[in-house]
Amino acid sequence: MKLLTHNMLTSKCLKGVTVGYPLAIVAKDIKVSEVDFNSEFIARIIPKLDWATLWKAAESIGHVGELPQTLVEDFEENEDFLKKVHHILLEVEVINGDLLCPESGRKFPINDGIPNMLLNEDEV
Amino acid sequence: METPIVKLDIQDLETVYEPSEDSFLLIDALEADFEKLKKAKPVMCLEIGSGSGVVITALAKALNRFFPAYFMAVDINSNACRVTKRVGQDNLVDINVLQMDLINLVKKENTFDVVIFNPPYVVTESLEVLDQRLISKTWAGGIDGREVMDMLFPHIPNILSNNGLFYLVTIKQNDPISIINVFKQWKMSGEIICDRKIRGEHLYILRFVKITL
Repeated sequence: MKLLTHNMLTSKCLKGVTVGYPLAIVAKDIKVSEVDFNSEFIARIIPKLDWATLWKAAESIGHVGELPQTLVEDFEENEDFLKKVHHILLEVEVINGDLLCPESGRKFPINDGIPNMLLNEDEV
Repeated sequence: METPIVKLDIQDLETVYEPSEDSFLLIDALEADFEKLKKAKPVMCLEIGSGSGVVITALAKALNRFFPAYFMAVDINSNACRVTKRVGQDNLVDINVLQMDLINLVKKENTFDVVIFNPPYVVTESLEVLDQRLISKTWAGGIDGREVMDMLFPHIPNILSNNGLFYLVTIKQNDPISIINVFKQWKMSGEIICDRKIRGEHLYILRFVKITL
């Protein structure tokens, strides 16, 4: 699971949960691989992101590096910044671990990079 | 559009839907629509119920020749999730897979530029939709074959970006025209972009967009 995927997940549909975002990450295995960089692609992803969530997730798995805590202005032109975002979004992957609902603590195990987010009938 | 290599063993086939006429018609429809897809330059693409992953992989392969995009797939079946990821890898594309019932835990913030759904559309009794056997989840659609897809539809306007495209597989018994009418209440317009008669089924591929004023 990459942090771009994590940015899109919420446990709001759980019974009794009001926000359910962002999910906490407990990473057991992390894989870092090289992916081709395309500045335009990254610049077009950024507006779709919740930046605070990305930063917090990166920090919680120990890969925040020099990623700034607040989104830089004019990021489209800032190749150095876009490369950092590219790295954290696409090159870092949680292979094994858990996602946790921030309110209920419900665990969603990640195995072989695939989070299991199936719910029981009585949870929704 | 190149048809991806899909290798399923006997064990996979017990629970994972083998690429069939409906999957191939959907790929053909995406190919026929490819200029539109290219022009939209999607950043985030999502397939709901990816099964073997053949469709999202075909899309990823085709789009990646022109620009990168992020491809996500969800499936309720852990075997399908594993196979989707593997089929992506076998075809040198990266599919980000989640095991989930429809899009229960996906944030509804108009993020996705392309959404694809080949639902369980076969007309069955309502009870069959609840059958826990995984293979029946690939086809059992309940009354009019609409029960599963109807649960998803209200979420589509909320996950699709403003210039996003939603592709849906249906059969005649699902009443595609009435589905198009359902989407009008959410200010989305739909059209039949492809149809094919195969033995025992008349398949229709629908494409929906948001109506922009």
